[in-house]
Amino acid sequence: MNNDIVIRVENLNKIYKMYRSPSERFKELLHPFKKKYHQEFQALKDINLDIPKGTIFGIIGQNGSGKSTLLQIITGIIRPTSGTVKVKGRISALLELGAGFHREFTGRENVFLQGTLMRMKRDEMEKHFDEIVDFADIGDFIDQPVKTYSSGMYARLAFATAINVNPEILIIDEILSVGDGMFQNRCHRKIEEFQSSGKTIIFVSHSLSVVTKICNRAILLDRGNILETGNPQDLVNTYKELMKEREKQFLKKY
Amino acid sequence: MTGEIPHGIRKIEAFSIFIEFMKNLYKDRHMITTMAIRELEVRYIGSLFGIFWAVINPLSQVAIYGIVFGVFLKIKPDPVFGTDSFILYLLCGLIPWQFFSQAATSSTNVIISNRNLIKKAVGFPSEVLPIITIISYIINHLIALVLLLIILILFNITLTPYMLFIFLYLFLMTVFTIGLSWIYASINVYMRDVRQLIGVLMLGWFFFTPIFYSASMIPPKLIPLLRLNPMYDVVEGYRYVLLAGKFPPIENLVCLILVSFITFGVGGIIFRRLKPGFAEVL
Repeated sequence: MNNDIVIRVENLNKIYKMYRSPSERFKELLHPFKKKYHQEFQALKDINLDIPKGTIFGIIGQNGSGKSTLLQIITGIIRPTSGTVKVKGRISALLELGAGFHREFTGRENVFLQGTLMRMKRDEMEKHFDEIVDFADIGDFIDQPVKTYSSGMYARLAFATAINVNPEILIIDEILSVGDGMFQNRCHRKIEEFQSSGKTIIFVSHSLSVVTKICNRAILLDRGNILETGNPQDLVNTYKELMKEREKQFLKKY
Repeated sequence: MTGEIPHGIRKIEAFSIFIEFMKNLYKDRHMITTMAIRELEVRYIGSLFGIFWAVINPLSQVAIYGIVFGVFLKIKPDPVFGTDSFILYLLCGLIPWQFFSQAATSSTNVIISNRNLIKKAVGFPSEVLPIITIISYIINHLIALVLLLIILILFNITLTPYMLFIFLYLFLMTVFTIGLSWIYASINVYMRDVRQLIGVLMLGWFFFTPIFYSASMIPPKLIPLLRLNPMYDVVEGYRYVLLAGKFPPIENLVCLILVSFITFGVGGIIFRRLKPGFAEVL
């Protein structure tokens, strides 16, 4: 893989199999003639994508267009049905308003847990710890279980941790929408800092203004397909047009 | 799955899985110990007696079984262990059994209850989750062992260096339990019946291990078959080294080591096979 590309997705397809019950899944496994007992939903169709190093890469699309599935496959949490994903470097991800925090653990314990997952040594993590706590601005709650946090606090700590564990690639899926304006600005500044040190960011959001503001490249996903790739502003315009069309058709029914 | 996998190859694969596994375990030791201690805290945090349940539990079971089987049914301990006391015989069998049954049962649900970590944390080593539960029960078990030691002293049992072999048995029992919990926990994600099945399984298993009865009451032809039950060997081993102050027959350790490591290997393979699908099914 070319030095410049950190993520390469080739011919990626993801079909979800939906079973009405667990027993249907087993009937299928055991059936001698391979009879199907599931419904199929194709979440991603033949996705091809190259993300160069140092980009802030945006992904926009309606709910259900396949954005989260694509991210889950890139991070390795879910397997593709076919196709390949090649990733160069460690990924830190904030997926769908979660961060892989363990609810019973305190903020402090979770920060160190993330450090272990990123294969950081404990003393390295301790150096970063103060930075993380400062950025998150949650005060003494750092020693309270994460389940007691408000969604804003959770988001702040998650973001602070993810960006500070020094990944090569940072993935942000909708988590910033939980924060207030001040938080969003702080995050944007941090994202730009992060990018200028040569790191890559994948940014998924419904907030089109933010995408045009901070991303330098983007794709528009719709119903599992990439409709368009390129300049965020162009994409956003296409997306808005698409939404207008869809809404017209929806209203026609009534 | 095609054909029979030769016994020798199974053993080699089990061993290399084991080495790789120990390396990863060492790397993640901080996370594992923190999570294990946290699990203990969560387990006892609302309770009045807290960690003392680790002691109250075996004691109360011994009282119940002791009365029913020792006094009502007048079961005598196997004389090979050199003691007349049914209570001691029972205790030495019950305490390792409790570790095994609690650890195996609790770890069945461990993947499901940690769905957040599986679905969101990039690269989370889910195979470590049952281990964390098992470690927390090892700590429970060590406390119970202290209790056992005190009782042995009170009953005037001589302390011998053979008693240190307890830790060998604990180690092998742990290896077996980890392998078993990998099998249950991973299948349970797809088929929740496993959780119910475990309850039934443990009940039967308890009766097929000579805990409240003596192995001398079993027809001798059946004993080699029963030796395949690793808990038979563990319980016998505990009794030999603690009560009789000597080493058990060699078949005991051979069977135990074989069954433990094979289970560990098979469990590891099954878990690895099923792991990639967890995030989708949960």
